[in-house]
Amino acid sequence: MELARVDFAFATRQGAVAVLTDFSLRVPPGEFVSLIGPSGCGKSTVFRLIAGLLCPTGGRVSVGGAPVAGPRGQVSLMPQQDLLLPWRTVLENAVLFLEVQGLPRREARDRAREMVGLFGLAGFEGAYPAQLSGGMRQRVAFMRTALSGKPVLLLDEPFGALDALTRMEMHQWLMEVLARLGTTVLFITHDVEEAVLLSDRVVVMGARGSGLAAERQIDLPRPRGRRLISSPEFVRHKAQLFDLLFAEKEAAL
Amino acid sequence: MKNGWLRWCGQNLLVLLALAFLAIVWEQGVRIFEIKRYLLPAPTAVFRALIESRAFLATHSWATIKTMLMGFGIATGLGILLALGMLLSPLLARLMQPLIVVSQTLPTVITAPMLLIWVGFSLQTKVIATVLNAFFPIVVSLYDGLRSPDRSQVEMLQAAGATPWQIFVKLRLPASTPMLFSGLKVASTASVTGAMVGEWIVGKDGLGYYVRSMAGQLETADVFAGVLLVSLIGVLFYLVITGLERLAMPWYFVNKQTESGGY
Repeated sequence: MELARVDFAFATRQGAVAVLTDFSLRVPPGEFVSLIGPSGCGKSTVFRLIAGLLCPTGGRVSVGGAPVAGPRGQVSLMPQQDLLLPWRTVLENAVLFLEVQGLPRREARDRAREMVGLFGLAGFEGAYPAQLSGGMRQRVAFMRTALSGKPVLLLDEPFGALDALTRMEMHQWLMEVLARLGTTVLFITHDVEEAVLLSDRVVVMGARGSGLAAERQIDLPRPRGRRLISSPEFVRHKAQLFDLLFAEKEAAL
Repeated sequence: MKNGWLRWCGQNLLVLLALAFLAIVWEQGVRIFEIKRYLLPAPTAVFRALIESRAFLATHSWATIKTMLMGFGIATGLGILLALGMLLSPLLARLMQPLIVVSQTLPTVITAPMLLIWVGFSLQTKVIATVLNAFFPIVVSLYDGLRSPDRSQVEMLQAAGATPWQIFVKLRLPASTPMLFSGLKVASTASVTGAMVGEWIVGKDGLGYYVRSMAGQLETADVFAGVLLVSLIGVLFYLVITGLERLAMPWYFVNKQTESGGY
């Protein structure tokens, strides 16, 4: 998946407002990359460009070698809110994207049933979203995203609304699932610790208008347990990312 | 759960007792103060009228039910078509919205005489009066319901490669059902009113006609009997729609329970 020298600007009454300028990012298959940056730096715009919901004003966006032209479902997006459909049960929500792809209902459900255990939802197949806790709802949303079988997953602050404890559980769980699925993930977050824990690489985006600022390889060994958070290497990664982040923020002022 | 049951019984027992008390006061009041039959009949007199005129009342009730169901059915069909059309074409929505609202500011009692002139003393006039009364809540609620999904939900499906038709079937349509049923419930009682107005004006059959002619003869007990049946039909029809609502969207009531009940 690649963004090559991408520009993007919104047209407003006062003229064009640049959101991304000369932004480049390459994510090889199987890598987990986090995007962090100050609010309004265009993280969500990057996602929308990759998903084909927006068209770049300059540069090239491609997934799997082919340029992105419109929302043709080449990637799978998990939005900030779980956006589960309240009239569908857990299983029915999980197969939504498969149905959209035209897979027969029976086959889609069979495929989902096999995966229910991996996503920690066994026994809840027939429950409605309103009957689930926040963490479970996010798991259903992630299952829906992962089940679509797309090689690239875009996760937009998926754990932002969860409490700290549930969030930590979800991190461990997400890493286990991804180790099994082997998909490429692009992850948006405001949480530096979360980014370091989950990622192979963390990209710090510049403030509005500027492109890629800095990035950092996270060469911590996997599997990464809860304890890792307090290890010296982990803290060093975190501190350096904070420095980069605040340097960006000050540069913007 | 058990507690809730007991409370439910208690509340309804209270309502029944209150009604019985009201009936007794009414009955005794009419006797003690010797109120004239044509001014206020006693409950027993109304009951007698119900029994004695049962053949008449049955025919007229049936006529009312027919008018009401036909009007409600046509209003539903028309309302759904119009709401879908307005969703597909913003131009149609802009054109129709003022017309729909204006049609509602005119009470059916005012428009029905025009229908008499155009359509005549017939079943059609009664049905049209019912449709005019019932279609508004259906159009408005369905149109709003179809537009209720927000941008993020639509984008999620678009990103998954959904066609506009899939977004309509998998998102807009199911999202609109709670609001559609709210509209249908309002329309169910509005269609009773519409049928009454139609019968009142056409004056051939139906409970609306029956009540009017009995009032003309000062047979007040029969008027009360007719009114009682009208409200019974209205309530039953409303309950039928409520039952359909529960069948059509069980998820909605599951969700409600968990939100208020604290599972």
